[in-house]
Amino acid sequence: MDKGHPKESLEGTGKFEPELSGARVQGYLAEASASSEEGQSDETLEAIAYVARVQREIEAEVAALRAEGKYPPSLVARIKRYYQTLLPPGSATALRDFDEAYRLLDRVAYIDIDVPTQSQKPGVSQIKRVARIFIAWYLNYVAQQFNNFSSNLIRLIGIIDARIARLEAKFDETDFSAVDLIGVTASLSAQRELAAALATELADNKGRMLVAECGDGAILALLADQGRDVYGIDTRVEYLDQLEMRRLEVRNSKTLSHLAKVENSSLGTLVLSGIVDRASISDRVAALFHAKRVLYQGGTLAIVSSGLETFMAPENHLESDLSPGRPFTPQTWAELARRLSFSHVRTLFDANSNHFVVIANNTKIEARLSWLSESAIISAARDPRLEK
Amino acid sequence: MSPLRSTSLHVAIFMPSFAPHDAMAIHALELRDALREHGLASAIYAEEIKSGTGGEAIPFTRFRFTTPSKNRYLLYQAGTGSNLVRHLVARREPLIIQYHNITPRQQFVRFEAGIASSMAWGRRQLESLIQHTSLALGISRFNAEDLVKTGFTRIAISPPLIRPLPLAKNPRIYGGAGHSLLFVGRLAPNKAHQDLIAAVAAYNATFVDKVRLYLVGTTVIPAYSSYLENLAKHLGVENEVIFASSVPSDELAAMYAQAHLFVSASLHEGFGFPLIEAMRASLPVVAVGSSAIPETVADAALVTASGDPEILATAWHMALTDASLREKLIRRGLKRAARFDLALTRAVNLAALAYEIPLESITPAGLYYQRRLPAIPGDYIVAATPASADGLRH
Repeated sequence: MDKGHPKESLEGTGKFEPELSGARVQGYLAEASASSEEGQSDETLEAIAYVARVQREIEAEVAALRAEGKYPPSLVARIKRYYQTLLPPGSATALRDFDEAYRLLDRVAYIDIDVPTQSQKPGVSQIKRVARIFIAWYLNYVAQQFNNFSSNLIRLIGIIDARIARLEAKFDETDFSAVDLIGVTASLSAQRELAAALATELADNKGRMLVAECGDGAILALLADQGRDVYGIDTRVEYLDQLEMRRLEVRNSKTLSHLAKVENSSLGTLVLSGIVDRASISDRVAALFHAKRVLYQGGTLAIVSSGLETFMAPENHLESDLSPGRPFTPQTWAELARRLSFSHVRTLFDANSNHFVVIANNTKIEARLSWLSESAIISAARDPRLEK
Repeated sequence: MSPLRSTSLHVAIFMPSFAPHDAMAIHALELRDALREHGLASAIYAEEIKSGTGGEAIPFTRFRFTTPSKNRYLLYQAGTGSNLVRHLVARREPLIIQYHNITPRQQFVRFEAGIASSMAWGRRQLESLIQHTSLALGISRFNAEDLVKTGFTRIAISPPLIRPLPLAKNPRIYGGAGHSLLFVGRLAPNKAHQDLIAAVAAYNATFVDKVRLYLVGTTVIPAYSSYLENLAKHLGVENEVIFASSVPSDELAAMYAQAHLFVSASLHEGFGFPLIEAMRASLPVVAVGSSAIPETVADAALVTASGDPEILATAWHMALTDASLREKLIRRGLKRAARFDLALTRAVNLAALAYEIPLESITPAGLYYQRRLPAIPGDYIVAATPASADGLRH
């Protein structure tokens, strides 16, 4: 640094000469932030341990209150909905927010060279005006370049917006869970024998169980009544409220986003329903991959679904019309499970064969997973050998 | 005009804005007074001086064309973008910055693009200050780490100077039934008032006892304030959420003294002054553990992992109804607040400045504080340690 330095004139005063090299500073900070006992005082370590303990206690208390029905999912969902809907335009992610942000950008993406010249001091205003005249040629040149750039940038954003809008138009934004009769049907509330057969199949399973899109909770309740460590997820808060009042452990969550947060090999059983009927092919594949990951070795995957007859029934017209894809047959699910190295694949049917459960055991993953892309699955679904 | 003496070392403190009751302004005043008490001349210069500051700050324009002096040090209080920077970096005197942290632009841009730009400007200026700065002080370890990430290499921690609040002359009586919760902080998106309001709704829908939330703080962004009021209304807690705006210091002291719980959901704090003020007033604290907050409160508060309404409501309920927990939080809070005792933190600030300013040439302060004051907690001095200060790092 070339600045004048008073310290230089004070040599011999006994001033400390601290070691302040970059490496030294980095070292101290690394030491201070390290979680090892060597880097921190006992007091700091105690504080860290205390905070971790308190957070566990708070979370346990929240879980206990949820189990008592004190925090109904509908309340939490209502609060979160207001978070988003009340935000001012331009602050969230909805379509209107893009329009508002675009309008704001358009308004400010311009350099005005007419700099204000007002001043409270006498004579300064005139000086500013003269100065503005003298530098106008320069400012004008610079401003024109920027304004041309910003105009083209706005034009480009407009083109990108139009392209995205065309892509969005290809996807139906209907809230499937709100019209999810198939999902409820698939949760086997009316197929007690099939549900009981599934529970029997899972009788020897160990570990935590997850029922994804548990609907009205027929399977969930059956497993909980057996004293199993089971929880369910769904996004329909009316069902979740009812299930919580029955002291069942449930969470307001979507299947894929929830599975993405589940630790590897942490579940003993995963029951998939709903998503397996109406999601896009890529989402169904994603669910299968997640199942492979979250189940531990020997864990069980159960896919609860309905046959095409149910899907096409007049009372289920919304699903058949609005779902991105038709449901897979049990044979397709079984074949996909095998290709993902699940073993002991078997299928249970209800009395009139309109509903089924494909059950498979998770075994050691094999290298051939890499070929199981979406296109491969589509090909597999078209495989004539799977027709029957 | 200037209180500076030409024969002594003097420290000129610079601030973008100087406002009454502002935490950074009080910090600067205390630092100025500490420097003066130890034989240095010092004055505060601000680009913008709000009314009601009693002439404590001098307009920067009166410093702007001052002749450079080899006896002068420049100390810039960095917290946002400022026109001061371009003038300070052009001067020949050594420049020290004291960093109070800059809120990430993303936390403002959804409500107000102008303030967001100011934050981005401040961040950019911080980077440009690296080559002009001889010492960087962070008011917390969190800030010091931010300085390291930015690229500064000579760094020390100097805690904030938090003045005790005056005794209340006209105690404010909290109205209505239920527990009184208090949060102090301007109405800005980084403070996440919406999480507190949502937690009030969750609490009152869940527990038999009810809570009322008092929000003390001025409006920064009208759109954000409107959002908060709408949220309270839609969640049915508009009568339980009281926007108290700005209150005089003595009234604030009374609010601390009479509240049942101090609550915070803030997403970004360079330190968290009100947390310490609450602890001084024997008020238990529940706070979301973001940014510098865990470091500020240590084990003297309930620190939650998130601002989810259920998590906050549950933690509040625990702190309000568990008598032994309350007693423990109050006891630990008082102990923690003592770490930020004004006399002590003034000494630590001088010790930190002594890395650049030869304080001991005027008084024995540097030597005294570095070597003989055993009460200085070791973790204050993290990034810059004098080679000869054997007894400093306890």
